[in-house]
Amino acid sequence: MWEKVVAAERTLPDFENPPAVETLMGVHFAPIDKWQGPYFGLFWSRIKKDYPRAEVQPPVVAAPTPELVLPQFQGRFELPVRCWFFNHDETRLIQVQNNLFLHNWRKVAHTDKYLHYDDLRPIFEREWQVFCNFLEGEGLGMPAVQLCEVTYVNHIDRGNGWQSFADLSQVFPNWSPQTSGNILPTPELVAINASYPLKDVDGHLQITAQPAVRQTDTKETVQLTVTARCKPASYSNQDIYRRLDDARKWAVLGFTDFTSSKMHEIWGRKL
Amino acid sequence: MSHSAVWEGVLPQLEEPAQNQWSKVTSLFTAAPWVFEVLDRIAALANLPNDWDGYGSPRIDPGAVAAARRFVASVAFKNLPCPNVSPVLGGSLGLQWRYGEKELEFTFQPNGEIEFLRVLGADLDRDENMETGTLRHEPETAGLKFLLWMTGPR
Repeated sequence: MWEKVVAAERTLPDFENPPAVETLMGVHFAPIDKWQGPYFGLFWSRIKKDYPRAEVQPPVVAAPTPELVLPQFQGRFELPVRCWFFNHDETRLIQVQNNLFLHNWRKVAHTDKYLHYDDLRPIFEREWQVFCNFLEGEGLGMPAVQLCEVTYVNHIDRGNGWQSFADLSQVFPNWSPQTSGNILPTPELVAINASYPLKDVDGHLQITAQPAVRQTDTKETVQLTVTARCKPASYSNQDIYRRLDDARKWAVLGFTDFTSSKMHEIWGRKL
Repeated sequence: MSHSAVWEGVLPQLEEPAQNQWSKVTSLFTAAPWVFEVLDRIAALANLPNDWDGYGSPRIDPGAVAAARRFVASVAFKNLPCPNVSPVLGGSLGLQWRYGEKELEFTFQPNGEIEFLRVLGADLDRDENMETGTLRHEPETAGLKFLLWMTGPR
C-alpha cells in the first residue's frame, strides 16, 4: 500500500534544493469532550523518551472552517492550551490541542538534509497511532477528524532570485509591479494572500507570501507558506492518510504553479 | 511619541493569532523601519580590531554580535524607538534605549549571557530607580517584556 503511494508521488514536481524550511502535517478534529489539562502530561509521559522537552503555547484559535470555531473552547471551564513536544535534536515537533494533532519538521542548519513527505508520513502515522491509542486507553474516544492539513513553509531570501520587491514578478508570475498610470514607485513591501478551491477533493489551498526577517540568522526573506486542507471521506485512518496525500499533492502542485520557472531552475527542479 | 502611538504599533504584533508554524520570522509589516539599519550597525562592530578603545579591549565577540542581531530581529516592533548600538569593554556589545524618563540597556557578553539594566527616573543616584540582572530563559521574550515596560504607561 505505502509503496504504491510513494511510486505515485514520484510524478510530482521535485527539487534538488527546495526552499522549504519547515513542513507540517496533521489533523484537525472536533474538540475532545472530556479532554482536560492533565491529559497533556499523561500523553507526554507516553512519548517523553523520544520527545524530552515540552512547551506550553497559546492555542490555535483561528479554526480553518467555521464549523470548527464555535464548539472549540465551550463547555466546562478549561484553560485553552496547546502543548509542543520536541524531539531530541529539536528538528521535529508534535503539537497537541484538544482539537488538533500536528507533526512539524524544520531545517535547523543549512546543511541539514531536506526531509521529504515520504520520509515524514510514516513518522506522522506512528505518532498519530500512539495518540489514538492513548485516547482510547484513557476512555476519551476516537477523534472525529474533520480536516487533514499539509503545510510547507518556504524562505526565499533576498539575493536568491530577487533583489527588490519590483522583482517579485520574477518569483511569483501572477504578481506584477505595474500600475495603471505608472505614478507609484517601486513598492517597499509586498504581501500576497490567496485561496484556491481544490479540484476533485473537498478542500482549499491557501498561499501567503510575506516579507520578513528570519529571527535565527536575521536574513531578509519572503516567507511563502503553502497550506492544503482537505476533508477526509470518513474518520478512518485509511481515509485520513489518503487525504493527507491529496493535501500534499496539492501543496506541491500549488507551490510549483505559483512560482516561476526561473526560481524552479534556481532550486534545481528534477521533475 | 505618545504611549498610545507605541501601543498601536505593538498591539497587532502581540495580537497576531497563534500559528502552527515553528520557524520564527518577524513580518516587515509590523517591524520597526530601522531594523535593517541597526542590524548593519551591529554587524559593523564585528570589524573593530583588537584594542579598539586604546585600552587593550579585545575585538567584539562574533557570538555577541550574532546574539544582538537575533535579539533585534525578534523585538523590533513598529514604533519602538531606534536603539543606540555601542561596543563594550571586554568584547561585548550594548544596545541602549531611552524613552521619556525610562532607560533600558542590554549587554551581550561573549559567554552568551545578556545582562540588562533598567532605569526609571532622572535621578540615577537613587538605587531604587535601577534594576540589573541577566536574561536567562528565552532572552528575546524576556527582552520584549522589558521593552513593553519601557514604552508602556508609567
